[in-house]
Amino acid sequence: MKKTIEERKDIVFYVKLYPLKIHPEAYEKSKAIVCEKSLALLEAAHEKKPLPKPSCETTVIDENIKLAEKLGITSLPSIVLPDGRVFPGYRDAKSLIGLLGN
Amino acid sequence: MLQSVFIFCCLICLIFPVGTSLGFETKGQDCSKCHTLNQTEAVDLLKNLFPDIKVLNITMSPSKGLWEVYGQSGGKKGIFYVDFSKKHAFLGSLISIAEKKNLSQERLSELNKIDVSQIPLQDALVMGDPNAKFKVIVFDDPD
Repeated sequence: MKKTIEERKDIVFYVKLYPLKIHPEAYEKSKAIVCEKSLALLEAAHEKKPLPKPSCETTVIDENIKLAEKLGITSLPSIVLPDGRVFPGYRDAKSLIGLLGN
Repeated sequence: MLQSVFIFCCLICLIFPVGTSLGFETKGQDCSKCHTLNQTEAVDLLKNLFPDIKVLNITMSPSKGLWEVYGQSGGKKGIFYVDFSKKHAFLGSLISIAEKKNLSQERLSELNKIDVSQIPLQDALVMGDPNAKFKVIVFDDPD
């Protein structure tokens, strides 16, 4: 994603955290990241670094889970394009730009 | 009149069987004239495999000789391919060799389009310029 936004200033990513039930720690981690609204924490989580405890109470993660289930998003990551197409798995900059057109 | 068109189509199909699909293309024949699959028929075929099947859309697949049947079973939506003989079906990915593209995945993304306006973004993590032209939403798990 970093590479894509470096290459293309006209693309922005909105990351919605959706902890899967098979990852028992992901729920707390998601809350911690959302409380701080911190991309750095998300990156740390991906690098398997320990995360601080959530610093707030939030329903955002529960809402994300409900929404993703309603939308039928089952595999992660999944990307949603502006026209509503959903693709499972992350795409590299080139193929993402191909899907977006121009 | 209709009857003779039908007989003509059947003859063409006999002369150029499904296996030699190139025969169709070079002769400029339209497969859908000879082969039809309607909703009821598709349900009848597929309910042997998926008793709760709902057929949402039927179209000719990019691979000659196969229909693409978009359906729902067990709460999940997917693409089933059914051959012209109506004896065989498969679930899986159709790949374009030349383009190295998963055509099934692309079709599914097209058919399963969602309304992006129902995804709230104010609580999402933003990577890049929030005013950028293309807004891509990523659902991700921290683990």
